[in-house]
Amino acid sequence: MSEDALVGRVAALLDDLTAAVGPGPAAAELVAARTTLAGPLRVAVAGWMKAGKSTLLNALLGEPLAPTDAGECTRVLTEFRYGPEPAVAVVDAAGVAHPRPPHRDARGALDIDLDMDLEAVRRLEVAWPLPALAGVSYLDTPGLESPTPGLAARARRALLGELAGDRGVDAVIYLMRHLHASDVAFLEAFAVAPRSDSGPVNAVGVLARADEVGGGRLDAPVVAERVAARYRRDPRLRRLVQTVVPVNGLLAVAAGRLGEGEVAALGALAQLPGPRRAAVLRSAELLVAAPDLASVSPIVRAELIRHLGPFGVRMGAELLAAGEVEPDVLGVALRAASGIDGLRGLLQERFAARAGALSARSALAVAERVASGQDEPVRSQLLGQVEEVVANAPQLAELGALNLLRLAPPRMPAALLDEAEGLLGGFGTAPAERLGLGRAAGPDEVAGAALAAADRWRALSESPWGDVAATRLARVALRACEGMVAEVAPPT
Amino acid sequence: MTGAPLTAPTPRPTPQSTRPGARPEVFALARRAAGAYRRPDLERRIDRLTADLDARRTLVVVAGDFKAGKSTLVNLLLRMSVCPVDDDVATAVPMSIEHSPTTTVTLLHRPPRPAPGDVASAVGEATVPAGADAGTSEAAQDEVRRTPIAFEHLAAIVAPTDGEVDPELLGAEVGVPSPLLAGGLILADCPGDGGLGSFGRLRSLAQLAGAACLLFATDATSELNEAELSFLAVAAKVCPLVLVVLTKTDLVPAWRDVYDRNLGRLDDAGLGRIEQLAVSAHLRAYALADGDPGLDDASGMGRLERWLADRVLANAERLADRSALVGLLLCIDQLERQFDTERRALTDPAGAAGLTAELEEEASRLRGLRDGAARWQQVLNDGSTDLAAKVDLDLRQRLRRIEREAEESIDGEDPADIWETFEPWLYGRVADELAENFAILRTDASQLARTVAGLFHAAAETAEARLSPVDVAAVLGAVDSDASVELVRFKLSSRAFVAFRAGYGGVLMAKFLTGFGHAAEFAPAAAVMGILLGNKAVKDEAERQLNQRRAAARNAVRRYSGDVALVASAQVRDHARAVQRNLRDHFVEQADEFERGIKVALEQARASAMATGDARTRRLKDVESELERIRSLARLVAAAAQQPSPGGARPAALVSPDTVAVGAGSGA
Repeated sequence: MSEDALVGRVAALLDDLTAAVGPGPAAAELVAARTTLAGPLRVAVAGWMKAGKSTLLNALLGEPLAPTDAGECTRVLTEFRYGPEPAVAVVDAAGVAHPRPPHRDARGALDIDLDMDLEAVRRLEVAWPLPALAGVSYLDTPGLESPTPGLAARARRALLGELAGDRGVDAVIYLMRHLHASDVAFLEAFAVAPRSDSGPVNAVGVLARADEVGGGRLDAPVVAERVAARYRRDPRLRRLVQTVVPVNGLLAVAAGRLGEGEVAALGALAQLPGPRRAAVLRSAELLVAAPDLASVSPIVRAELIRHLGPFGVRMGAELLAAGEVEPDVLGVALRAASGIDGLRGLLQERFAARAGALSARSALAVAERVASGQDEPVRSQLLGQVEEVVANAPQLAELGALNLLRLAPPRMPAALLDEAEGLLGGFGTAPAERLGLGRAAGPDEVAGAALAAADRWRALSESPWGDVAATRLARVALRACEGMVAEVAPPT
Repeated sequence: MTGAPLTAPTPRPTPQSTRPGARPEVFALARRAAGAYRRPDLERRIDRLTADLDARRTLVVVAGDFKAGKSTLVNLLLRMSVCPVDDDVATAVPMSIEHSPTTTVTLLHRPPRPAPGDVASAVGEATVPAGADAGTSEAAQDEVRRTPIAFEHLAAIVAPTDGEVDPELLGAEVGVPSPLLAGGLILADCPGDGGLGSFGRLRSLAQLAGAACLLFATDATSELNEAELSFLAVAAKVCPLVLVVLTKTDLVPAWRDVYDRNLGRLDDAGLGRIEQLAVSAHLRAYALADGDPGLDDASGMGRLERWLADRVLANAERLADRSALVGLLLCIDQLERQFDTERRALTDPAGAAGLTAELEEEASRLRGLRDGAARWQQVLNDGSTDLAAKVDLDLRQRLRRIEREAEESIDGEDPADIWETFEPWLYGRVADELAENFAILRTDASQLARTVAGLFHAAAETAEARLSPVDVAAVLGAVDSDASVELVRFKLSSRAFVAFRAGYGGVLMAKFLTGFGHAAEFAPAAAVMGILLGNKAVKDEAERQLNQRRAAARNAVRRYSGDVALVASAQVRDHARAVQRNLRDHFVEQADEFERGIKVALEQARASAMATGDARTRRLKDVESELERIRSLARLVAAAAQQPSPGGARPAALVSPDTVAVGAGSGA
């Protein structure tokens, strides 16, 4: 069953269920899930207060719409989605949308007068004509802060529960700052995961403010990558997210909107002798006060370092001084250094390519919840319908198996577990990626590898030594191999 | 700047030069006088006073969240690379750094335990009713293994790149020739692993109990968060002086906003008294490398040093000096009484018999004071029993409260879901409550000491009103230094540390974990299977397992709380007993001194009564000039002791017994 077919069947199922439960809140929930199923991929951005959520969001949007002033700015759940015209609406507790003028401040950030009690606001909906919003919408969640774990977790789950109950979330980006892995806060940030329809398969971690990890030095990206690599290996994090990537959101936003004045200022810095340049860049105060940068006004200097951050300024000046980059493409080079493209690629590979299956999965979770809430015998009947769809969708079995691989890996050599994760599409869904071959691999090579993998996993699935979990995993992997064999070399 | 040796410090006035008051020559003079006047007991006492003064240490604890820049801060305060600094790896072992002519490093290892995992016996050991005075904690201290190592090996041991620290390693003591530390300052760098949530917090708070000051590092990339504020709230109750040090200002152009918001958050949290200084250790590193004093000014590190010298070191020295000087004044007072008695005998030979009778009566009263039935002794005995009972009750109430909160959490959640955060939360909560409980213990012990001192002096009719209240500081000094057994002057080597680590940190945790660890492992798989299969059997089974997990979690919490109560109340009892013992010894010794003084005076009076004519006139002249000398010495000492606190803007500290006592002195 292809993804489209799966989405079609889930849509039909939701329609059936809506008719079966009759009008009421349950039906409304199903209708909402039905609408979302056809809509864009919904990605939530979650993390600690001040983790850099809004900055990252702006980097993903390519437009500094989310207010980022230091301090806790995002207080209400905000949804950014595509719209032909800029439009902003405040949705109240009753679900009624009140349009508001889409006013922006001097720095381009939305400046919306909610004109309503903060408690009465359910969410803010922002529609904007941005290319980055084609096919995906982002949910900016209020920052988290925790006193007592149980109570905080409940409050937080209520937040994401509302997210899920409302429209569902297909994927989550968790922002983490540089923390020690044994830190409470580190794991607490993940307590938000609504267990029912989320799991590592649709979550990625972002080491945000990556430039600060290395003290804003030129080698900050290297250090950040090292830290991210440690997180990727952490067994506790493996249960929570697919992978962890470092992103310097501040630089990504700035690089996309580098003004001429800023490039000129960086150029002036690049003119300074190396040691002198390093000396004036030791702090923002020193840069602003430096006497040998007469061509750049102190105000511009202050704005420059605020906008790009110490790392961005160092990097930009260094690139220009080395003559490696022409001023007109400096923005592109800085953007590459920010790591934002890596995250985008990841979202594309891991989420967008599975958008249908992920959406179907969220919708099925709603369907199952609604069905379970009915009285017998309707309950059993509806649950049976849900199970029928689930049982006939290998994509869902793959997602489930991928989650299990991370949550509770079966007893198997690590190399085999890695191979299984690849086969199930954990590292990309194209056959060559699943088989661990280069993108350039030809059809014959792919077919050969798929056949060999199929043999291997068939043997594992029939092995009398495997326990239940291992056997189940082997069967799903085998099915994935067979699917690829069929896809690459259709039977003649 | 990882591992890079910093440039040698530029010569600058050391904190030593700011030492106030206590002039060694005054002590030497008084000691010579005591020798000349045949008072070896007073000589010994003066020796002890000077020795205490020399051995005085002021502990400054540096704490803060993971990666807040603590180690860099310490290094640049010392102007030498002592603590290992890395972009990712954090210091994992507590380090205490003090002055030493040459660089030395000593590793402290936990004493070998009876049998690994034999939790019951270890807990039992800690709760042995300390009938034997050389109780278990003392034995534990002796057994701490101290291993000197070369400095080059320090980094790999305290901040291993693989994060695997020797679990038996308690800490490292480092001695360095830093001028900053020459005044008796000890810096304790608490590990940042685990942040402020769990053991990091417990360890930091344990250290704080004896610290003169807490430097709390928070970096300028974000404002103080809830965890930091709640740590500060507890710290402010335990430690007399807290300073928030805003680090990494070079990295954050908008650090001033963060600085202001931090002050706002402190105010909102009712911690408005806590001050804040902004620093950039990196700028100082550059300044040292370039020899650029202007840049060093910009780093703010100099202001931090001055703050430490003015507010911490000077204050601690003033308190110690005052208490030593008051002790000295008491000695001089005894010499004065001795000569005054003789002068009376000389000027009025007819009244000599009456005087002798008077002195004999006084001597017998002093003997009565030493008697166990003396009122001050009774008050002391009852008081220390009440003290232990009150603090123990408070402890149990606190633990009960935590249990209730914990159960509320467990009942509303699947323990498997929240356990990873729940467990450190529980340890953190217990750490907070223990710290506050011990703070009560200290305050009440000081109160008891003051009451007893009042009774003793009233009964002895010795110390004049002008001395009595201040003298309490000296008494408390004695009590306090002995109380360091448990809590005060919290050096890494002290018994308290071992007790904390071995008791709360090691043993209980091991027990806790083995009791529960496994249940959490399998829970998520079951939950996910339920979603995938969606059938009733799995759900019922899940329900049953959930209930089982909750029961296991509740049991684990109760067991942990019970174990904490056992160990902590044993410590409370030990401490109360130590207070009682030390106060008794102190006053009995004082009674001995008074008695000896009277004996000498009696002999003199008898001898003087027999002297006649010229001899008597000459002797009277001598005595009067001796008296004048003693009185001028007394005036000198009294003037030094009663110097007003320079710049002591800090309001009365909450728990420091010395401060409490001095406050009482100026009020009397």
